[in-house]
Amino acid sequence: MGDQARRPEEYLPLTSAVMDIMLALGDEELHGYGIMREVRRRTDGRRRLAPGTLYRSLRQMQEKGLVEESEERPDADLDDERRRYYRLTDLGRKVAVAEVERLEGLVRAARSKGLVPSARPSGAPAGA
Amino acid sequence: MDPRDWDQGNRRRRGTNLLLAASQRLYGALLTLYPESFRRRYAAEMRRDFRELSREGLEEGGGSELVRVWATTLSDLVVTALKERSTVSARNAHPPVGPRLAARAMVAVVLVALTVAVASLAMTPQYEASTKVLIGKQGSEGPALGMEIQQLQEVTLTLAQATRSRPIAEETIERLGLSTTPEVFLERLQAEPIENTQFIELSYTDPNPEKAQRVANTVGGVISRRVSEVGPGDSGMTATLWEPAPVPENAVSPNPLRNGLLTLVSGLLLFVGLALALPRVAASGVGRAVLRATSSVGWITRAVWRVPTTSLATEAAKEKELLEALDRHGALTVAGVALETSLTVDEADRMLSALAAKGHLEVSVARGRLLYSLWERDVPL
Repeated sequence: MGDQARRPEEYLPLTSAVMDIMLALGDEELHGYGIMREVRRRTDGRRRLAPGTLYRSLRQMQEKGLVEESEERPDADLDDERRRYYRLTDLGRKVAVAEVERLEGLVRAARSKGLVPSARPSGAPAGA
Repeated sequence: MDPRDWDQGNRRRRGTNLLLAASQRLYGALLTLYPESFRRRYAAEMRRDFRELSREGLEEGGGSELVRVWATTLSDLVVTALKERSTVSARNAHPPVGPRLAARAMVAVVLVALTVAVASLAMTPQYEASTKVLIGKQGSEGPALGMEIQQLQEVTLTLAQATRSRPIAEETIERLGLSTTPEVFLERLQAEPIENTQFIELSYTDPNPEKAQRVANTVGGVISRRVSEVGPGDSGMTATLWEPAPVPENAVSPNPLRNGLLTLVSGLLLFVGLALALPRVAASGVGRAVLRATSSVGWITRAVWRVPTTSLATEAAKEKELLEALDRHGALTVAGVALETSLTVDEADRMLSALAAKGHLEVSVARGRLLYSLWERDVPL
């Protein structure tokens, strides 16, 4: 469905919801609710994806060929056959990497301008 | 375990399940805000996920957490449903609400409005004669003053109701020798108290203006007589024909201009509403039939009146000019297209965005600039 001829950089920048979904699917296949839980776990509850944003983003990502539905089922004990599982495509993975590179470039640029977060006590969450 | 604790726990669980079920049903109903294609694909998953979110919320923070889940989900639902509908509208923009269809719909609406106006002219004109009856007390020449005003106004209300009654209709029909029934007569008779006064306004509608006048004045006379006869002896209530009805000069209906304008406005509102809210209608069987019908109307209209289609032709010519510029130069920005063609920057932006959204153009980013180009397969050999 996606246009494989496009270069990964042409999909950038990604929205934060799309990046959250890509990070959640980075190392495993998940269903919608699993993605929500993973985003919440990774951000210590600071970020929560609501169903509308999640499925609208998934719809767009599927159309662009960044994610696809998985035909294989995960571990039978954890599987819920009624649910659809999603995974990153090769293109999706490349786009995620390109986005991370773009963000790294931004962080480097910010450092060079002295725009870095002030030191905070170890263990404190970012942005706290 | 104490049986009372067990009962209490059971009741709480049942209450929670009922709350969750109601919550899920409401959420399921709200999902209709999304376009049908989106619902078909994701609604089941969204309902299931929302149930899990609600259950988790209730377990973690009770009712207040469920309210927070609802608040977040509801605002997200409204925003994403609007965005999704707008995406679907943009995708379907060409067939259902493109300029060609809009022009055809306008022509159809105008034709219907003209037909309604002409049909109105063929209807029998109706004339309305009005008279005023003053309710008062014996001994007073004009409207009452002081404490009795309120009482008289209450009586006025009652008499207004009594005027549109069968005995009044029968007596008037008999006096004038009319060939009608009391039911038909009462449909044509109106009696309304004038607010904060002791007046009743009587009006009668009829195709014959002289007859309308005679009936209105006769009803006034019948009311006066009846009040003097049946009113309580001590109260001395009177009903006086204060302002006899003149012969009406102008018909109250039909009003071809008003009918035509109302049809025109309603038709336009209906078209705009359908175009905004129901883009998928065009893709349905009924929608296609309507499109075919409007297409025929447009063709007939052009054939008969030579309706100019210059704006449509201009739009097509500009689109061709834009595509030729892209073919010559390979890839262009919005401003680049404006420089190479007769299009303004706004026109170029609008056309490029629309063509790209429909997948007719390739979009790329180079040195921070958005470039539009023809797909390789579309470039003429």
